[in-house]
Amino acid sequence: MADKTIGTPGNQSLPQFETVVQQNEGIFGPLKALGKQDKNNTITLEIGSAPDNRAILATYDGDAPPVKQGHSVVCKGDCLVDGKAAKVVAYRKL
Amino acid sequence: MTYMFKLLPLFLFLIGCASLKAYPDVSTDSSAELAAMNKYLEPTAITRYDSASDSDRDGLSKEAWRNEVVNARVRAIDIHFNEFQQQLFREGIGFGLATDWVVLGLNAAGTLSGRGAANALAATSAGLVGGKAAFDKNVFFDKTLPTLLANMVAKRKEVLVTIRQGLGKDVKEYPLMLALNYLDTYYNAGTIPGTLTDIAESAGATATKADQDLKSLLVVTSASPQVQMRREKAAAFVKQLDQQGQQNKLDLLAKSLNVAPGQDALVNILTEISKASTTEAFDIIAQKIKILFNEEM
Repeated sequence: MADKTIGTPGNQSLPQFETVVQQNEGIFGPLKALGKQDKNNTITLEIGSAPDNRAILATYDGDAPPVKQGHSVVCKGDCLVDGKAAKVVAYRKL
Repeated sequence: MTYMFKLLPLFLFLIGCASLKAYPDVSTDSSAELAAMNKYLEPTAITRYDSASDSDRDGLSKEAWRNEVVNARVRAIDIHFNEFQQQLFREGIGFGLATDWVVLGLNAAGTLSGRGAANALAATSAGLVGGKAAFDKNVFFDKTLPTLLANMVAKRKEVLVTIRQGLGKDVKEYPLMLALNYLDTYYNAGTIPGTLTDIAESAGATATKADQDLKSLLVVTSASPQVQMRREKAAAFVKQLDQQGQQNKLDLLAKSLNVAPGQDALVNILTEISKASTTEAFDIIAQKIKILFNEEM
């Protein structure tokens, strides 16, 4: 299945970033990867059916993201939140 | 001074090791080989190719003669390239090994021998180390050269494939002059300036692609819940067209949205939907879908 990578401004808050991710899962399909490029965050989505449970984003410190009860980790990436570098993890409700 | 004589076998051993060869002796005489191929290498090979008579080409057809000339010249370039490679090794890496080991020997002797001998050895050692230090400033022969050689070998193979593929074609499609142009490219691929140019061009192309990727990144923001609901409906509709194999309808919609039809039509349409984050922007897409498929979005 094909992928599509889109960008979203890195100066957005985490909830704004999360909304963009969730809305584009509804358009393209499930989230596959997060990252950053220049001043933007990148969102890579797999073309397919929109997932019923949209991705939930959280920032974290350290090497591994914390386990979230009842959720699986979709992906993690070095992103920008409020214009600052942050480690972001995407969870999906099981 | 007697220490010097006692250490002589050590010197000889170390220097002997330094002459360890990277390339075994070749079993053929390259000069003789080149001489044997001379008729294909000299300029008359071209006039003989142009001749209307096969007898001027030792009874060979133009195509067969072309192939002989090209193969001979490829072999000649290879012979010179192999010599060039070995020469680079001797001047570069080979020198580094030799001096390192000689210096080790001289320093050991300097530590153990009498004062006069020690001074002489130290001077020799300093000279060698100094020479090597100056030599090491030449990055070609230190870290860069293996990379350049690897690039040369890879590029030469790439050009050789083109040359060999041409030999299967007739002379109208692949005349000798065209083959000679490729041979020039083949030769240049095995030169330091040629490989530096190739690396620079590759780096430039990579940088250009990175710039294009950066510029082509679609940057989107969120839409209102009302617009998003309509966007998801439209996205589900076009994905359904795709699942049903209705490529002609996808192409129709893609063209009406001024994006490329074909195998990327679905992604291109979804991208247009993602870009349309305002009611006004999405209404344009909705109108097109209404006109083309009588579907309300």
